[in-house]
Amino acid sequence: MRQTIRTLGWAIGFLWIIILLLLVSVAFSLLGFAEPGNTGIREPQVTFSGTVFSLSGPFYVNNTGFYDLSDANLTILIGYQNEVLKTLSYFVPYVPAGTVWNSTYDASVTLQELASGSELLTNGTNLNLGISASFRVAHVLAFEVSTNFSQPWRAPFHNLTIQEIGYNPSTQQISLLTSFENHASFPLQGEFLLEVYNSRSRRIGYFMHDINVAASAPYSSSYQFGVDGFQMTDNEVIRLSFVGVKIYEMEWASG
Amino acid sequence: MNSVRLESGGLRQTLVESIPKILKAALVTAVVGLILLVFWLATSGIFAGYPEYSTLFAILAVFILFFTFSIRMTEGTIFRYGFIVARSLFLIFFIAYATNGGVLSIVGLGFQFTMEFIPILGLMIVACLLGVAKGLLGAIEFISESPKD
Repeated sequence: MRQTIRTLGWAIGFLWIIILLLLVSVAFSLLGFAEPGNTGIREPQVTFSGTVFSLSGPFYVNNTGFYDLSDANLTILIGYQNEVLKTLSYFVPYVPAGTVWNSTYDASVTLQELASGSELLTNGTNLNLGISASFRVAHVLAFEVSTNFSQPWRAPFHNLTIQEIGYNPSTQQISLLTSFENHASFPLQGEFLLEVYNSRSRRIGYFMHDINVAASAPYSSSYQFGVDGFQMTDNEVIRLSFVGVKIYEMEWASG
Repeated sequence: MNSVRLESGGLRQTLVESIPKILKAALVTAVVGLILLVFWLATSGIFAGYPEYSTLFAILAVFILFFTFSIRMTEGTIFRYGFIVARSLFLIFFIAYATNGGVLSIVGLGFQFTMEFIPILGLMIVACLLGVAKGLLGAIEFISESPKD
């Protein structure tokens, strides 16, 4: 009996030593991992092609700790007011101890997704960004760091207005002036479509052309195009689209 | 009258005999208290973002000191094993409660830091359960070795 009790005492002591050693060594591993230069993102590139905004670049994780890192996951939530516009997620399955993991990230948001945040294309505002990173050390301890902050958003069609709308019944042509400022850091290049709908939601005229607006540059242009005068009602709707995505709509009392 | 005198004399003698035991228990408790103080000084900065840490650590320290003193004071009696088992059971519940079932969250500097260590918590509980088993076996051995009336 006495030997059993003594063995139990040894087992308890041994267990507590293992637990303490594990916790202390994991803490040291994390301190090494948190040192500057052991994780990083290299020069991201922002591009806009078609209807897709892309942010891409290489990133690396240098696991200098004693234990393998597994199930590493980075999640970025982009939101506007209380609405989530986009969820981006990157998964790094396994980084063995003493190795460097090199990879690339590619975050892309379509114009349609941005347009769902109502005024994001036409008004500068602050986007809510929620970032969380989680990983597992030695397969038994899981860590998660998360934070929220706001990021200024510069609208590509800032202060978009349609003015000086006029209709000439004799030529059956509509004339109008469109202006906006491209506050974004990328140029706008693509198909710009102006459409006129009558009160029965029937398209009675349109005009399409390509625009090319440099970053941080203003844009202003007059348009004149034909409409079906017989289909006109007292109230028309003028709709503006860019590369197939509706960005602005306004009512016009033609009568 | 004589028996009362005898009883009061016996009590005094018992108290006098107990003084070294009390002093020894107090000394051991003081050493444990000192270790807990050093641990507190070393870790209070790390857990500054965890507001409940001070309260929980104070509760743990008070109970650890109480059990240390009690176990030392009741050496040579069956109560010692009762306190050993009680200490292990207290640690099981305390660890599970204080660590929120193995998931801790700390908020600070605009970040939320969450740590999940359920397997480690499992190991701690196993160690405490072994402590319960050790206390029970100790009690059984104590009873079996005690002279029968």
